[in-house]
Amino acid sequence: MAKATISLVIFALALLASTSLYAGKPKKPILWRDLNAKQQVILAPLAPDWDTMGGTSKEKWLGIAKRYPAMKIAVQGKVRRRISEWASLTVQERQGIRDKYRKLKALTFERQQTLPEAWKQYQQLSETERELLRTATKRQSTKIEPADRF
Amino acid sequence: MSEHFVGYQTRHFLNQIDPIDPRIAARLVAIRVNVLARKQETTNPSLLITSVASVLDYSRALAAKLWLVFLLIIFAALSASSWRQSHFTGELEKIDTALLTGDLPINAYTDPGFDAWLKRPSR
Repeated sequence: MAKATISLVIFALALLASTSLYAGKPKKPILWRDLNAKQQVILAPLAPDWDTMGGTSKEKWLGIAKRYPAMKIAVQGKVRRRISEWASLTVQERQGIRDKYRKLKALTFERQQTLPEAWKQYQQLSETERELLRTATKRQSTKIEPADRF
Repeated sequence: MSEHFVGYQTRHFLNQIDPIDPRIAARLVAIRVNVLARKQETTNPSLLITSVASVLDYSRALAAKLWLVFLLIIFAALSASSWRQSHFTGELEKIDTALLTGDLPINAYTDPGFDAWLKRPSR
């Protein structure tokens, strides 16, 4: 009985040690100079901020860089442009974009399919019309917000 | 020289004496009875000592089990934390990849005018 208990305690300690090595051990930060040439080309707009970026963000960007070679050429060009845009946004703006993305993703499939066309139509409005829409949205947000359709 | 060895030697010596003097035999019997009586006392400790020893044994076993449960809880918590972190990073990568590769440009998500355009009543 005592031997069984001691064996279980040693087993639990071994599990704990292996989990600590896997999860608890602080990982060495990946600096910009540690990236290979391909990763540096793909993630070039992020170079100025890379060394101060959090570990989670770096992991995410390295995951995206890993997917990059499998993307079509046209998509690769789009990604490179958008990474530049993304790099200029604040953390709050990025979080707001992700929240908006999640809301649109919650729409029906049919509704989601109409979004690119809706954007084209919106772009065809005059700047005055677009500004009116923006102002109307701002005025609405200062009142009690109606139920969000999205 | 161990007690067993002395006892063995004594027994062997006494076996050589034949016949043994009855008075010596009587004294030897008395000594034997006395020694046996004392031996029984030491192997039958008092009830209090027995109880305390049992409690200590039980406490040690219980403490070992509690430690085991505690370590398993720590292991479970660390595993859960590691999984959550991995899951969060995976989700973030998925969303940001969709934003970078999707049909809508990034400013579609930041333009409140487009938001209003989508919410307009359909004609």
